Amino acid sequence: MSAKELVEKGEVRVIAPLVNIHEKEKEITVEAEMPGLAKENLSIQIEGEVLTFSGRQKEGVPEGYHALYRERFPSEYRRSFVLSSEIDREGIRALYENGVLNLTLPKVEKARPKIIKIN
Amino acid sequence: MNRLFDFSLSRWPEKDTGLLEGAWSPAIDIYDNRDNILVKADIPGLSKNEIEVSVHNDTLVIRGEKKREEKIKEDEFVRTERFYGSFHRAVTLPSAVDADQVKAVYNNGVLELTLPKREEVKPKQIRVDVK
Repeated sequence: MSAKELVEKGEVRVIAPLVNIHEKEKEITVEAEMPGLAKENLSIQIEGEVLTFSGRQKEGVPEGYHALYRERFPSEYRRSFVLSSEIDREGIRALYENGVLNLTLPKVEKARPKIIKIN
Repeated sequence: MNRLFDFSLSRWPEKDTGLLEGAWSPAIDIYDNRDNILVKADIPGLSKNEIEVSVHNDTLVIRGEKKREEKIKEDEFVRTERFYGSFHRAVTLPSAVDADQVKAVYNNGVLELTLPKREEVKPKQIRVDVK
């Protein structure tokens, strides 16, 4: 079904946002492109081992205007990842900036690389 | 490397989006009313001064460049799906606009342009007197 047909039926399409994932010594960062969300419409959940972030872009036709051409339809962004036990779940931080959700997932102490000195 | 993200539950972006081929242009909406044309474009992850908007008669051009963060080392990338590089999108507007009065707002990754129509292209109400 095309996006237009979904909108006509009053449904939203679900989009998997594009992500970049970086692994650093102490943390993993995830950047996800989710343009056009209000902060209240964003949610980040951990259920068991699965981290899910989602957000609803509810954009309708602006008041006083009529649509001539649309490629941006109301959408739900949603994507899930499986977390390993090396992630400190309590320490996860999130920042939404310029339409990009930035998640920082710190590693638990024992999962960080250790450098062993040679005497 | 640690398999911290064992697998992703969601699908890989479709091939036909063109995102993986490096050709990318922002998705846009065009709206219209009596006085203005409103254009919205999804351009996530840029800052205000990285987007350039130009108007020539009835042609609108949005261009910019998404730069990679330089402080990230190559071996830290686990997954890269986001597009980087320069992009541009040219659109023919339904009527001529006043290029000097264009308002641009960039908020939450969405560029919103309000382009006032030129006085001469606005619809005019003609009164017909019937005797």
